[in-house]
Amino acid sequence: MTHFSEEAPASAPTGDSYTANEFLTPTGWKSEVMGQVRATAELRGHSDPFDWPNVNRALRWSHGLRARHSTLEKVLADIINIKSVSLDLIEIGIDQTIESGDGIGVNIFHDPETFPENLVPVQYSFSFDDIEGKFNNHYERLEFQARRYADHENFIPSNYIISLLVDSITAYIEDSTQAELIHSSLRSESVDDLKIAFSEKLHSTIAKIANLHKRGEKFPSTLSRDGSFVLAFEHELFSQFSIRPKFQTAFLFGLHQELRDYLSEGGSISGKWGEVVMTNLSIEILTTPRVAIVLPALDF
Amino acid sequence: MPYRRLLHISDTHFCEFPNRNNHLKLWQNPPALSLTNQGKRISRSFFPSSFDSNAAQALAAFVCDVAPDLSLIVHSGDLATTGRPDDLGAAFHFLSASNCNGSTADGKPSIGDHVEKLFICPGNHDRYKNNFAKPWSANFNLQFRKIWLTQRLDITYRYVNKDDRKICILAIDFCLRANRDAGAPYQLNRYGRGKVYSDTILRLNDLMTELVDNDKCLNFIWVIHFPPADGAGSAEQLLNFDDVASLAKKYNVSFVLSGHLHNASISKTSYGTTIIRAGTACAADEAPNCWIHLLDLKIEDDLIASIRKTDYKWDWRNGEFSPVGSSIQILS
Repeated sequence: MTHFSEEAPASAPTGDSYTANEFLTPTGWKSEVMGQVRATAELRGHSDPFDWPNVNRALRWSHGLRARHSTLEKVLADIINIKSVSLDLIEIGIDQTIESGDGIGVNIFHDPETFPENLVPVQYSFSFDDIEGKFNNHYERLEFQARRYADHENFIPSNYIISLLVDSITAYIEDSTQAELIHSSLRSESVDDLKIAFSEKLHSTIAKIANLHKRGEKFPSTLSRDGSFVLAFEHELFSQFSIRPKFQTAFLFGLHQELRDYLSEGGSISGKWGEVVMTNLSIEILTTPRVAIVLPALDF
Repeated sequence: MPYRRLLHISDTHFCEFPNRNNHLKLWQNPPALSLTNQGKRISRSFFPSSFDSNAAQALAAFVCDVAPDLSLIVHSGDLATTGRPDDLGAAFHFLSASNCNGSTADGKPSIGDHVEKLFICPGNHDRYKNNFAKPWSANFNLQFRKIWLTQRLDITYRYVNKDDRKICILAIDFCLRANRDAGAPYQLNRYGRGKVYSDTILRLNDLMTELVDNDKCLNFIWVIHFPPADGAGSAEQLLNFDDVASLAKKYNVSFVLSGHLHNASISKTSYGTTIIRAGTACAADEAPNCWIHLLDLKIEDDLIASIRKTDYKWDWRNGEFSPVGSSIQILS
């Protein structure tokens, strides 16, 4: 995220749609920082998630193109029905060539200290129409809590996910001659311990996938696409967590929702390998460059 | 060159089924599940723990990256969870799948094209005939016949550097040969115990005499899966360990590499020989406490003058083995 502290251009376009040139400018714009609204914009592109060169380029360019501040201010003011709004951050990610279907999504979150409680966070997006040569904006309201996980580095699953796991294990052992022993063992563990174990396992699995990708293995670094996990990641999950088949759909759906909420509300899953990033359409692993292992020098 | 560099790994517990845990830790790391294995789901929970696939992947990546700098990769036993062909096959795949760089096309971890640097020793798990630890499976000898090249039935050796016969490394198999050797109650003790057999000691003595007299070898490193000293729990002991410890003293063995107990330590036999015990590299029931160890040997006047040990622990957050603490100088 980048902060800007200069004044916005005076001539802001008006209306419900904006041309690419009106909406985007390759030079920096200026704004007054008021700290009332924080917004981030992200690429909601057409790129194939497996097409990494394109995705990486788009993310790299996100630091070179910036939205015209006054335009977004006006749109935001319309959406949330207040006279004016000041942004302390807007960051647009978009490829060099804008094509039909390209879009920009903006998530706006409460600042709980300065905003009225009844203001609902919103998400809105612009999609580019290459026939009209304009961005058309549309938006939707999302009822999620503002940046609930802003300082979190570990995804912690809900009681529901843990109950699916425990119920699955219980089902597998119920006919065993030592079932009572295992039931006792399961009961003695706190839900919090199970959550931590789950969290570590999930994180280490993502780390493994990221490192495989960095080594050039043909393992997709896309974790989810179009609202569900990709097949390869599902296989990894079921290798790590023994989920009874009748619970598998609920497990995948629930985990996907929780992971998506966690990321969209400021949570982080990261390591030396890179970080998990969320776009409007998918959850991806963005890897860092590979670093060689350095062994101690042989001069003792 | 006055230095030799070894990588010491142990207790990888490769298995047909990754991420399988014993029932007492079942909640934490349950068995893998796939539709084809439904029929086995009940009893599998009581089988020996297998390996953590995430730690195994990090191990493969580490080995592939540093292998060019290593003289030898020593695995001190329990390559597989059992001596069943499927489990040994998984271990063999990890050690010897060719043309890969940390994993094969099917996504399984493998250290690939470094078989020529491998030196292995079977552990008690590798000799299980089944998932209930029935002893003395011969499958290990068949599966690893290209790596476990025994010159004396249950003993193998090679020189750390082929062109320089100054440092010889030997692996000795002290796994149980029969239920009765485990001692009562054998149903329990056969899981973790080993035994020093007198015929093995005789063969070891003969071989050591040959190496000293004929090859003029000056330095010996022994690899024994079971630490030849007191300190292991009763169910995990090497029975008659004093016999091999005294022989190590007789031939002035530089140090013994072992594993078995899944935690790293440095100790001595009752005769003063140093035992360097590796932690488990990727066993599921110990994850994330997975360790590998880099051993740098300094050679002066054709003798091992000192050993520097650097420990690497699996960092689950970053998905890699990272150095922990500073290096330890063991012998000087």
